[in-house]
Amino acid sequence: MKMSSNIVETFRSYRRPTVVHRGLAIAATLLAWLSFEASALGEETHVSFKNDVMPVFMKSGCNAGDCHGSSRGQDGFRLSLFGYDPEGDYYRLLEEYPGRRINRAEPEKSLLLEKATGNVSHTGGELFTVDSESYRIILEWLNQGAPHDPDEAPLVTGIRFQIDKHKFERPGSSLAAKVTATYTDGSERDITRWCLFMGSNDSVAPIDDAGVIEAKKAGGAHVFARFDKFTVGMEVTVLPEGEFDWPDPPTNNYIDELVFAKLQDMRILPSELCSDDQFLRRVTIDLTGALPTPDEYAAFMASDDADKRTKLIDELMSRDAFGEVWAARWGEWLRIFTDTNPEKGTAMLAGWNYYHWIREQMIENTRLDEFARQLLSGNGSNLTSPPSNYYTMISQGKVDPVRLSEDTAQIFMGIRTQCAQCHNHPFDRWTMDDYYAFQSFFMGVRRKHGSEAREYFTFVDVDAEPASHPIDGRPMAHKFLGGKYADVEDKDARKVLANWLTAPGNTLFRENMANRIWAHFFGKGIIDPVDDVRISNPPSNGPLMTELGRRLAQDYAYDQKKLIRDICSSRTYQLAATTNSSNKQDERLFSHSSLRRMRADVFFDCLTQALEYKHNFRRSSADRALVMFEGGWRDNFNAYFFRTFGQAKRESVCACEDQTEANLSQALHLINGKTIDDALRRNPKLIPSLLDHHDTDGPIIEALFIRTLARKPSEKELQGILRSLPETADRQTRHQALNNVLWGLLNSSEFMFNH
Amino acid sequence: MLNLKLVKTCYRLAILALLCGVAQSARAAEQYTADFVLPQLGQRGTTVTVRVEGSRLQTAEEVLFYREGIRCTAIRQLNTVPHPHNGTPLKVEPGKAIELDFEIAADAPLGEYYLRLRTKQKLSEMLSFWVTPFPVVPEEHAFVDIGETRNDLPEYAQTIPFNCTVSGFGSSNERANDWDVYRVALKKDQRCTCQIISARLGTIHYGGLTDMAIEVRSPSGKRVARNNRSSLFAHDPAVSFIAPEAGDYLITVGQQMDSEIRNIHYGLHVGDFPRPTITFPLGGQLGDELDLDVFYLDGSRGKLKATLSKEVTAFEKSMVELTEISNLPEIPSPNRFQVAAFPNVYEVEGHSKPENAQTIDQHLPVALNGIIKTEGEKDWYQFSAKKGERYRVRVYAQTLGSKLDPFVWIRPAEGNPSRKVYEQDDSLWDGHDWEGHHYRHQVKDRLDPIFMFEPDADGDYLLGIADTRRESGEDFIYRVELQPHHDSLFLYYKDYPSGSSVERDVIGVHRGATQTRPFAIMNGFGSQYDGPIRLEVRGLPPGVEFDSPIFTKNDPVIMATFRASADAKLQTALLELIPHAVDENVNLLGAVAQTHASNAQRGGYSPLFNKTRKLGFAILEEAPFDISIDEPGIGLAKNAELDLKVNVRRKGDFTGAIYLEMDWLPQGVTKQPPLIIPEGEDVGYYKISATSQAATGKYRLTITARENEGGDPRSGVGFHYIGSPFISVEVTEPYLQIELQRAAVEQGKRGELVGKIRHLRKFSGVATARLLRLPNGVSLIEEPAIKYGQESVVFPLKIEADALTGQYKEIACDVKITDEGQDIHQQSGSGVIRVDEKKGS
Repeated sequence: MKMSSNIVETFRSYRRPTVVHRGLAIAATLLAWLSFEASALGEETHVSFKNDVMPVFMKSGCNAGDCHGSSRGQDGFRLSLFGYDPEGDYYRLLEEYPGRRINRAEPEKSLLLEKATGNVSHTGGELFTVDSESYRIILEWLNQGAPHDPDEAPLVTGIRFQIDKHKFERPGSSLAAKVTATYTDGSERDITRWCLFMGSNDSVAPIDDAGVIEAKKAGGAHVFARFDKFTVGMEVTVLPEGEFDWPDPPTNNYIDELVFAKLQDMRILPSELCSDDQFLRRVTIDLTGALPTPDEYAAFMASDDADKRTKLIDELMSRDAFGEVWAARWGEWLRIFTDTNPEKGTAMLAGWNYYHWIREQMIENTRLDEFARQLLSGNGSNLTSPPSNYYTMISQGKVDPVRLSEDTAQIFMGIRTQCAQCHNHPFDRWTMDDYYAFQSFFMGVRRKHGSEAREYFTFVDVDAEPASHPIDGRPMAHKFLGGKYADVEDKDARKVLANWLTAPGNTLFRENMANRIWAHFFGKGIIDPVDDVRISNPPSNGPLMTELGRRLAQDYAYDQKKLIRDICSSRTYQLAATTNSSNKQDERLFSHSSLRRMRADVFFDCLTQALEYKHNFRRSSADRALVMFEGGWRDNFNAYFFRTFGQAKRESVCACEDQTEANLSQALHLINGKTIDDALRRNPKLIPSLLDHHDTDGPIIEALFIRTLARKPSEKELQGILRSLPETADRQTRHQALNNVLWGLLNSSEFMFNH
Repeated sequence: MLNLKLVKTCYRLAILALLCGVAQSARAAEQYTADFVLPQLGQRGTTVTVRVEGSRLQTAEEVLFYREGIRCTAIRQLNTVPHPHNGTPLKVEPGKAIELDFEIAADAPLGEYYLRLRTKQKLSEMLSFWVTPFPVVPEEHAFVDIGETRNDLPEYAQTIPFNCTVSGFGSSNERANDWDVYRVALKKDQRCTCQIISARLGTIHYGGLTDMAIEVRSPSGKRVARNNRSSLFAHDPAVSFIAPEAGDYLITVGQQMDSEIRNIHYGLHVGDFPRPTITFPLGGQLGDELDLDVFYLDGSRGKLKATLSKEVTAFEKSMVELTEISNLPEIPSPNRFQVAAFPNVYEVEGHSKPENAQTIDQHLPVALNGIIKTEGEKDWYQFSAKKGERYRVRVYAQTLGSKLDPFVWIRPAEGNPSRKVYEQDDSLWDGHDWEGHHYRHQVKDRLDPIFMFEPDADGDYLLGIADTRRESGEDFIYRVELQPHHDSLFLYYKDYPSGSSVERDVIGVHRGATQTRPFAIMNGFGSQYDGPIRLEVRGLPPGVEFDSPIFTKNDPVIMATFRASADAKLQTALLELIPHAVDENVNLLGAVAQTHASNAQRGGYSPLFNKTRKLGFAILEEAPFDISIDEPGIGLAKNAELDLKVNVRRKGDFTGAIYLEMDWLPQGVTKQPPLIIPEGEDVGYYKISATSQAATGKYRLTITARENEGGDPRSGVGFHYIGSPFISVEVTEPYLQIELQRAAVEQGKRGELVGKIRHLRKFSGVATARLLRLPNGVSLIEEPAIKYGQESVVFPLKIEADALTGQYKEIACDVKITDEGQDIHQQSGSGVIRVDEKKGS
């Protein structure tokens, strides 16, 4: 498609909503023009407060958070943030201080207009001029007596871009987007000029206030339009200049087909397949949280079985450690908290049982939908009914429906609804109505003391009142997020919610679960962060996201191992980290393997494993950091390590708490801290054992490389290290020198990262 | 869950740490007269040698058991005790450990026996000992598992006979806990029940609660049973299963999680005994013969025949053990069964809505018996009641092992004019006729609702019951008793002002001395009696006098004093203290309702506790001192202070300092910090004050004294506690009031402040007054004298040249009145002084 054919001339004049009749679109358009012309000629035209005046506020930024939309307003005048409360706004304009802001006798003298045009000192400055359309709309409304809308006035039901994706053939061109709103009376209206626009990647395709998208450089981006309470997105691709030959790389499964289709579309070449040793290390860490042992390395590298990678995946997934990797993740997402604190409703025993229940579910590969249902339906004692801890751990202290509804949306659907508690979500579709109707599912959750101070009983009052809307106090009937109203009559509303959530057709749940799994193996979600799903944060590869979710729910009945097998078997997962000229800038489309710093617990375990060092965790029977049910803080000998390497503090359910970026503190700790140093000093068995078996340093260096990096040293590396070693037969000296080699390997970025 | 492989390495590393812990353990024992008794288990019909460790046990003479069945036949001093972690003999100081022989009668009831140890100086803390029907087998390697001396791994499992009780020990260290593995041979299809008693043994002196777990694996390695918390025993687990194959089964027991507690002890019953979890019904009427449906822990169901006795006594005696009334063979910790004086009503299915509520034909009281079988099920009953009737509605479910968490409500039926609706989910302790902090003393009984139903109209009422969680099952059994109400009173030890709560939960009277105890009074559930109360004591041994003033509703506590004669025999007793209405026409049930924490967990919570209706009492040998208070010649006026003269009578060569504290004071009367009479001195003055809010009247007060040093202030071990005889103090109106006038003074000059006097009570002699809270630079030149009848007083003031100018409020005066030879300080007035600049400056 050529760019020029896509340019849309935006309709820049104001006109009232027009009914579009099927088959009579042209006539309706003509009528609309006539209607506008009549209005322009000064004949009486009804101006709607909600549909005409409030868009002016929105477009002009009057009701933005840094202006009158802030919770305290600005300079004594407050509007609802982004116009979530039209009734309140109308009241404040006309009735809060009668005659002050609106002058019915002399509308032009209204403070509202005087301020907006800068005739009267205005902190926000001049927003529009007297000859602007915004001015004319408000003035006309004032001339009509500033009426409120009648009850039957149409309301916006949705907005849309005229096209939902656009591909620029080269940088340097532009496109004027067009946005249309639909109303409850069936009418449509071009609201482009009243929309707020924003882009996801301004370096690729910025969009200006008028909705004109500029193709700046090759890449992918999304642009978004906001009007009323709706936000819509449009996918924009800017293709690079020059010729492009798609090499048609082999594919292992549907994942590769979908990823490569996107790459081909974007004219990006994927990297080559990673080597066997890279794959071995990568997949072993990802699936078991451990390094491959020297024996595993030898066996895998020696195997000439064409299917050995898939067989390795299956073998690794059969280990308990596989379940423990996911138990550790869920432990953080679900905030397993183990402080025995009756005031908080948490207890060490409860946390212990909760963790072990999750671990068991993961090891036994409980279906994810069943797992979620059990959590959401958790009832009874926190000590004997582990899933009930869902209601003691994420909402500590007293039961808090606000927290429960927000966290449930975030954990299972990746949706952050928090904004909508106080105003309609500015970057998503969630309104306050959605927020409180969803909160109603948790209004009946109750908690009481059990048989002792540590024990809490969670139960549900099925007769509990639903949440009430904070603006007008109306009861908000239970309504699924983005879905229908729920029948909760004499039912545990949580179970009703759980059934809706985990229904195979619910894309919110299935795609979020699939995305969380995906992110584990790529270090980045298709939607990223994985728990910030919103219209303004779309998937980097929509078809892939859709298909992964569909497979997980419908083909695999939420058996996560099957999806993980697909992922790990894909060529996409097995691509090398080495980039080419076309994909070196790609960080979102999975054209190459990413360098991923290991999680704090996995990294600690890999360190001790490489050193063959048995770490005694203080106050814990755990044999690995990964299975410390409450995180590393309990091992107060090494709490600093876990803190420095970003272990989740479990202060929230946010997946972002698990921080895996590398920083200077980590490097300094490894270099100067006691973790590696102590292990080297306290556990002298490894190097002596190697010295016992090898007379020369070369094989020992090779063994150390295999232990730490799961590969043999290159000849250059080997010779370089050998040159640095002292030429001596003294065992103690050799030991010390080889210790230094091991120290260097453990401090290498290659060790710290999975790649 | 029970990760065994870790133990190998961690125990080796732990030994040093454990050895260090020994010294700490020995020091900790200083805080108790009797720290613990081991073993805590004995078989019926045998004589068991047990060891008690504590402090000052050289003069141990007697064991007080709270029920019959066990006799202590010998007490021997020990010089060594087994090392707590490796069992090797560890030398101990004299008095730190003794050995006792417990002769357990052949017909001794099974279960727990509370006991206290009496030395010549003390009656110890409450301990407990358990009688089991099985031979007791000690854990062979009860200490640190190391090398071949271990039982922490399957290959080192200790072989035990079937039908035994293992007396085991779990040592804990910083990393992990001890797991013990036992091997028992079973035949195919043989029933095996494994039942732990650990939390119930009581660990308060070990500083933690045990959360044990059992796991059983078959000869082929399959896990056949696992449990870490049972519906019957809360913290203590139990499993029961039918052996799927013949061979050796491995039973692993231990703390279920990484623990922060120290050492634990446990009993493990292993046998073929049946383990009912619950019956239907849960109770019956006196004289009933019932066919009980029984649910067993092994998953089977069966029938039992029960015959109920024809009489029932007050309070919890209506709860009997299932083995007493049925053909169930004797088992450890049998189920309990509720016996009532009123008939059972059984649910008839099809009453899940109010419109088809099951009609109860007979008039209350009745007991409703049913099961919540389906999710969200509500059972409805309809009955009639009359205005003015009073019933205690009490649900039995969790109390008796049901999985139901009951929620119950009563509301008027259609046509009934009443508008009262009752809803109850749980209960407070007073509903159970026990005292207990609502938070600290939580057990599952508390999950069963109790409330008073007091119909305000004649007519029909609807009672509904459901599970709060909407859960259900065949064993979600309930029994709702609508019990006739009877007013009652209970009393228990009032928390002692300066701690020492453990030591002071007993009454130990020294020969020739007095022991004073304040008791809290609790109205029984639903009782509204607020008249005067007197105490009756039963079980007092000869040579002891009892005295207790009449209790009125203004008093915070009811006092009791015990005085032993100089030649009273050293002995123990169990006392009943019964509160009665002074008016003999008022019929009140009364008893002690004392709880003693038997467990403590992190945060100081004690979920498990021992309950007694009787109080441990002992006559002890003479103390090295005695005290008395001189009766004050005058009353304690409001807003005034009074010095009480305390006299110490020292005996022998005791010259040490004495620590004294008032046992109680009426509302509005406060006391000084504890008084210490210095070494060698025999007199002290204890200051008490009355606020303006104090209620006038006569009060009988006492002081308790102990040595200032030589014991443990927290527990009281090592001290002699001696009470004073009662003195009488009258709280009176003040003598006078002084209304200070506003005054203006000038820098560098003299001034005066005038007070107008209002006399309220006559006093003899001359009073003097001084001003309080004068500003800087202003001083009283001379304290003016005041005589009775004088109408005003002038305070001469000196104002320094650099006195701070400004207006100063809250100037008060302290009046010292000497009456009947005693000084009384009384505060009065609230004046204002303005300090002006020197004129011309």
